[in-house]
Amino acid sequence: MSLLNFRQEGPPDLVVHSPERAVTRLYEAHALDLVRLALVMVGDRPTAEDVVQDSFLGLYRRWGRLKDTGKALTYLRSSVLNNCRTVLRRRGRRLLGAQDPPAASAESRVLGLEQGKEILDAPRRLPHKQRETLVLRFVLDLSEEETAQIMRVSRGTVRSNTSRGRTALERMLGETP
Amino acid sequence: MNIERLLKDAAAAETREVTRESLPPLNLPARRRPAGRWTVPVAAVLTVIAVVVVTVTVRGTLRGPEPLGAHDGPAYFLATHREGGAGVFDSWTGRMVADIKPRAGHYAALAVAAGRRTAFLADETGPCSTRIDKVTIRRDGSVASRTTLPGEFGTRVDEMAATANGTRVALVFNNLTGCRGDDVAVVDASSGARRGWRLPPARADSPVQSPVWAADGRTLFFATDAPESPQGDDRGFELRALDTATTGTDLLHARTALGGTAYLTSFRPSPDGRAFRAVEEDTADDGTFRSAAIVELTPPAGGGSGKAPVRTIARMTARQIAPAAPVDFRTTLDATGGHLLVSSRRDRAVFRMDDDGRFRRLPDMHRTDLGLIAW
Repeated sequence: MSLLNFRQEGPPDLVVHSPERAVTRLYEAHALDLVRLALVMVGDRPTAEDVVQDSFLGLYRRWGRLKDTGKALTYLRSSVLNNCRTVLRRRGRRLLGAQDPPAASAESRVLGLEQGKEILDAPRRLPHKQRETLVLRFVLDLSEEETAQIMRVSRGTVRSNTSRGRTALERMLGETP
Repeated sequence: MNIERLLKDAAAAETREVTRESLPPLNLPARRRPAGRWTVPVAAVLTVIAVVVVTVTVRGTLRGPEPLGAHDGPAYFLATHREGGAGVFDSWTGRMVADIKPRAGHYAALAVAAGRRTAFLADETGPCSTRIDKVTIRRDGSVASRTTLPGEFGTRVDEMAATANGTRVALVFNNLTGCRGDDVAVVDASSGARRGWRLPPARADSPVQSPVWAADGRTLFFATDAPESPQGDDRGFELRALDTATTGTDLLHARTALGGTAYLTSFRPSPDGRAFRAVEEDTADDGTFRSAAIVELTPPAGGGSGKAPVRTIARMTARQIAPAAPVDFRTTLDATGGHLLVSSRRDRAVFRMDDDGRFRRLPDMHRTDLGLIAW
């Protein structure tokens, strides 16, 4: 079962409500899942909440220009990912680089792997496309098609990023020879 | 190690305390009502883009493995294995001819020169510490000598490419795992003299991949993510040509040889540099092998920034190699781009295919621990 309930679509009557009402209803329905997604991506909760607030704010501002309000949820997911990417870029490579790789000994590595934070640090060091693909596919259990739609890439690109990301993670976590 | 399971469990633990009750309320600004009653009527015409071009070229059904010509393709390939070393394998039978054990650490990247007598192995001796071994291989595949290039690199090597004569090796570094340094370096194999290049910070998140030398031994091609379109759409790879003889250390000063193209691997330039061969991998949702193809790309006349059409030269499908269905597979082309090697760790199988579509399974290969391969 997926960690997040992203397969649910938004309320069907969004169009008939005012933007405030529609966006608020979307927030009530999906903010929890989106904050969890952002938390996995950026690693700290205040930032994750800010990212999601910004995304809803952006949706609210663009509401009148949305071609299809039924796709508001897809817009939100993409927006959250983009905002997470911006946050990580802002933090900069230096900060990420300052994190030490997993300990060398087998025992300490195993201990480290048991800590969720250690594991989630690894994808945060991947290129953003691989990181987002792995989180959407493996953590959220989204299909290739859904992932492709959110990331605005082809299914082939999703496959390629999945394969490359998985290989890189295996290497970071110490499996590949 | 089940990467999917690890990620899922870790994410569940990390987000356990995020509950609906603990979320802050949504703060929307007061909305300005449009003055006047002129609302903007936007009639959005959604164009349905029919995308599917499934070119199923059925060239006869289920051809079985065929014998290859006696002199087709390189005689040996190299592959890393679980013990940390690299093996030299007969590329007809799969039999291991030589086992090269690292002096310390493990081999994390390898490259074979087109002359097929020289190979380079990146020995990862610590988390951010790599030395490069140069190996000379005899005609029978045995190792004639091994030397370590002078100096050490304070980072990890992701990929390597050797010039045809084996006098220089290009290293692509992985600085995303806690190490720091250049993104690409070229090292002289005899003196150890080196020169480095970096991506500008704005592109540091788009790693360099698939390095390969032009026939002149001076131009280094490499792939990197193409910039997103103004709409934020992914445009795949672009292949750049770095003149290693000119000054400057910015990788993006390298000219674009191929514009946005699909994600391919193992780029191999033609001798005149006017076309490229590469491997196109196709997998199912679960990562299972569907097919691997040798494809050819010819940059449009008048500049390389345009999109090049992709022509399939030969394809090996899962049906053809059944019952093997590699889940964790790796592919590589030889230096000519005419021969493809597909290695599957879990299926204990290695297949090879020529650009005329003939393929075979290497009969004596039964290892489950092969990692990177170079041919």
